[in-house]
Parts: sequence; C-alpha cells; structure tokens
Amino acid sequence: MPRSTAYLGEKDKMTSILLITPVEKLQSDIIDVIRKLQGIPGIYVSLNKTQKSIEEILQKSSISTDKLFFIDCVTSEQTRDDVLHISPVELELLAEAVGAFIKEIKGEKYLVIDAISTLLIYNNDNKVARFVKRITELASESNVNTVAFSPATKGEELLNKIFNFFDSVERRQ
Amino acid sequence: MKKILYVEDSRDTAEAVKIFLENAGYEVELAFDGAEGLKKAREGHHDLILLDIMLPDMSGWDIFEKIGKKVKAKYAFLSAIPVSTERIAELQKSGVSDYIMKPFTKADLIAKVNSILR
Repeated sequence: MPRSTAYLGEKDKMTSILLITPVEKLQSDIIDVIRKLQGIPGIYVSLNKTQKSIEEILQKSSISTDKLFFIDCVTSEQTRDDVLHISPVELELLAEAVGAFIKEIKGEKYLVIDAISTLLIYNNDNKVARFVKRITELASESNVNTVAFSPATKGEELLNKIFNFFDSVERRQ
Repeated sequence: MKKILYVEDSRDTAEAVKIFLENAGYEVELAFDGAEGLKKAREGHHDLILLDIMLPDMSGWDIFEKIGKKVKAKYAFLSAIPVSTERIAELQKSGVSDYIMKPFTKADLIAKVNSILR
C-alpha cells in the first residue's frame, strides 16, 4: 500500500508541509504531489480553479481522481453529488467541512489545499491565518498528512503568519 | 483592429472577458485548453495572448515557454492567485508583459490591456 509519508516526511509520522511555489509552476507542482499520493484517499480543497477544472487537469496527466474528495471554493455550480461547494468567505464552514471529511474517510488519508493565498482576495490575513491554524490542528489531531500550496504573496505577510502551523516549509524555485 | 487570443478553460469567464474586450474595440479569439491555445497562437498573428495560469492539458506558463520566443506577441497572465509585485517583476524580465489578477472590473481589465498594447 502506498504511503503518503513516503513523500511527506518520516515514515509513520504525520507531516504537514507548506510549499511556496512560483505561480507559474503551481500546476506542475500540484500534479507532482498528487501523483505521488495517488492510491491514498485525499481531500482536495480547490481555491483557484473549479473542481471540474482540477479533475480535468489531473486526469489529463493520467492521475486517477477516484479517491479524491473535493471541496470547491470557486463555483457553486453543482456538477457532482459528492462535491461540496463552499464560499471562500465562509472559512469556519470550510474548516468544519474539512473536519467532516477527515472523520468520514477511514484509514490513511491526506489533505491538499491549493493556492492558499487566494483566500486573501476574500478575507484579511488574520482570518486566513486562523483558518490555517484550525485546519492544521484538525489534520494533526487525526494524523492526516497535509500539503498546502501558496505562491509568494505581496509582502509575504500571510506566509509569515502561517509558517509556524506547518511541520515544514519548502520554497520551490 | 488589434487582435487578442485568450486561453481560459472556464467558458463563462472566457466569454465575459471576450465581451468586455470586444466592446473596447479589440478582436478576441478564445481557446479553451492548451493545445487549442498553442494551435491558434501559432496561426493567428495576435497582438496579445492572455493566458490563464492553470489549464487542463498544460499550464499557461508551459504555453509561454513553448511559443514565447517564436510567436511574436505580447503575453500576459490572467489569474485568481495573488502574487507579489517582486514575482510579477521577475515574470516581466522573462518577457511577460503583465500579470492581471482576478477578480477585476471591466474598467481595470481594459485599462491593463490598453496599457500592454499601447
């Protein structure tokens, strides 16, 4: 059985990682991570593109999305019954939904949040930082490996506020 | 009339941008994935190629890398992902004219495009 920890860190230890990636490499970095975690059930919070777009991107890269559960924060248009659509303004509801998915999916699982800085369009950085803290706590309590992506943001105020909530931070070039 | 190619997989967004820019006096062609975008860019003699960052079959950056030096046009990204001004400056050094962040108003978009094509 593939193990997400093989990518994320030490064997048998839950890890959360913040990947700071150049915006133009975000797509290839997301594909790279999901490919390595393929076969393990995952929760994908899409903040930049719709679930439909993300699924198409992954499928065109020959990545199966059968074990991915999506929370789409981009559109309210329902295309699949098993996809949750939550407004990016509703961060408390979003955290609750992530918590519910974590409880619902049995066994090993992982959580991916793409382009966390996109939340800054709709929320101030303190609110986003509180959300990230809550999400990483939820994941940690349930031993869920977490990968959050963010391009470098203006002044990096948000990144400075959320660094400490992750076990590791990797800045990609 | 100046000609723009917009590569965007969200048809609603693409159509809205097309209407905005056509009303501002531009001719706008749409492509909904990377392969179609590449084909139209190579054939189209566009003055500006607007690229979404993430597309189904390749990223907007992949398109720029493939044709940026071969197809003579201005290039700009349209994306919902906020980035730093430093990063935008780095992209500009690579030959990208601008990085336009969504959501934008019709006036903001037209002002940015006018500025790029001035």
